[in-house]
Amino acid sequence: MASVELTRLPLSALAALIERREVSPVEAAEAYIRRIDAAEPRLNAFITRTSDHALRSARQAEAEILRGGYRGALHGVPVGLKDLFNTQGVRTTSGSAIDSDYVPDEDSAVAERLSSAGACLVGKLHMTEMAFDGTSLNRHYGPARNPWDTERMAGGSSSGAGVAVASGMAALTVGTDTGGSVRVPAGLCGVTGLKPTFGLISRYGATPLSWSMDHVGPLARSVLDAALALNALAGHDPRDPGSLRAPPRDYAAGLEESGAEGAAGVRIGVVDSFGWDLTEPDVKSAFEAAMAQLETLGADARSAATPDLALVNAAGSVVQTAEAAALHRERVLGRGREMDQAIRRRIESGLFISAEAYLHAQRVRAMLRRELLSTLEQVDLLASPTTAIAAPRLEQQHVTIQGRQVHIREGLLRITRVFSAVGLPAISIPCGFTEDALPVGLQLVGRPLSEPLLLRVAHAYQTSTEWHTQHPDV
Amino acid sequence: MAERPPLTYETFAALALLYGLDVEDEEHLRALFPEVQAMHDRIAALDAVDAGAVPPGSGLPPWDDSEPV
Repeated sequence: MASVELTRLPLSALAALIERREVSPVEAAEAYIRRIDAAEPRLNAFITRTSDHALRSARQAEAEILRGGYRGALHGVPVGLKDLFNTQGVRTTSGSAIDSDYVPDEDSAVAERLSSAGACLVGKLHMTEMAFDGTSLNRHYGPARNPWDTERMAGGSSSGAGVAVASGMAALTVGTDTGGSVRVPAGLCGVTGLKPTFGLISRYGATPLSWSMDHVGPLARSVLDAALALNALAGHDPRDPGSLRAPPRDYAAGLEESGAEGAAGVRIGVVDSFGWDLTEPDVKSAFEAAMAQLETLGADARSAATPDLALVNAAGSVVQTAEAAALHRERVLGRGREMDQAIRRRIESGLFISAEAYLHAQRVRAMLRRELLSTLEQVDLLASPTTAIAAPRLEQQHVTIQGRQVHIREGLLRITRVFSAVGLPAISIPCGFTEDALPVGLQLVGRPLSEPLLLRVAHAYQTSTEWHTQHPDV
Repeated sequence: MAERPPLTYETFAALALLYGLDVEDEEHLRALFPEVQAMHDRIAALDAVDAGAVPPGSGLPPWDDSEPV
């Protein structure tokens, strides 16, 4: 099979070829390395490339598979990791110049699990410094560029994770999501991004930003691929105090069988309270078309009464910033001049949050979560656009929507941050393009541990549409 | 609930000293002030919310959703 075709295959298709020994892991790794050689200079998705590491893992995988020791869907598959997951012997910068020489002596839980599944690490991926920004700008490592328009942002903070999957530089990537950092780059780059229920994937060995809001999640080319990734990544880990003791599940089971039928009869509540007036018209049109498609598949779409999402956002912002300041006080006070100054200030502002204000924000957050769970008794899922705007230009600070100026951070994070703050599972899937040919994301949100339903409905949508099969010409 | 007074630059600078920031770096402090004011405004907006439905010390995040809700 031609090299370029291999790098465009969904993980599930590549895995099937590897399992049937029609493609060897070494062949796959070499194809991806060639693709990275060609595209990386234009996209800047990686902070550190690990081609030798990938080839070593691929040779080992090949030998194991030839001996009959196939481990599963990730065996021999080229993957990338956001550069805040510790990787033994491979530097882990967290997007910061301060950590540019930090080489961990043990793997994070995510790296361990990928390694156990036989995946081949092609590199550590671009991210915004300390994961505290929704753009794809990084003062130290340069901007990650959107493969659909390289003069535009890829979204963040898991910027390289979105770029690498969209441009065929990794079959699967893993990022973190505290306010939208998996879903925003997925939305802007036109790939599938899953933020599971809080605690479903261990955060052990990942640089924290906010211990009560940090989630780990995969980015992939399809919902089925995300489900296969979740199978490998989910599971209890006593080293992460937030880790759930949820029973193991096969998240991919039944997806292909349910196909387009998977959305039939599912009640989907449209979230209206995030501000349509501050949403780009092209984004709104794509979202409305996606909802119409889901109705065609038998979903029961209706309006959903949700709590004041601006309050959820405010509570989430107070909590996230206070926790970031508690975690990174020494860094900002001692070496703040070496940081991106906007991110330094964002963290420092958390030093000014009193214990009373932090705890009140936590109580407000808990109360609003109860209200959202109450809404989710009336409907099975919630739906919204992933972001209120499509990918901004790299230099852009504001966007004007219906005559009003909106800061791009608000446009990027306003809708996703809500669902990080309340710990609910959420997925972003491609649902169309703007007139400028930029991807638009559809966000679906479920009850805690409702990933099987979430994946089933998202897969039904992808079964009946082709947005997720489009490739940028880069 | 008692109203939270607006944050003045003088109060901010005094707190900055207390919290260990380099108050000699006036340019940095001037740039930081709007960020802290914005956070102060968010906190003030939350003051208006009665969170009495959540008993103190219970139900706070992170939540344990090990059993499906």
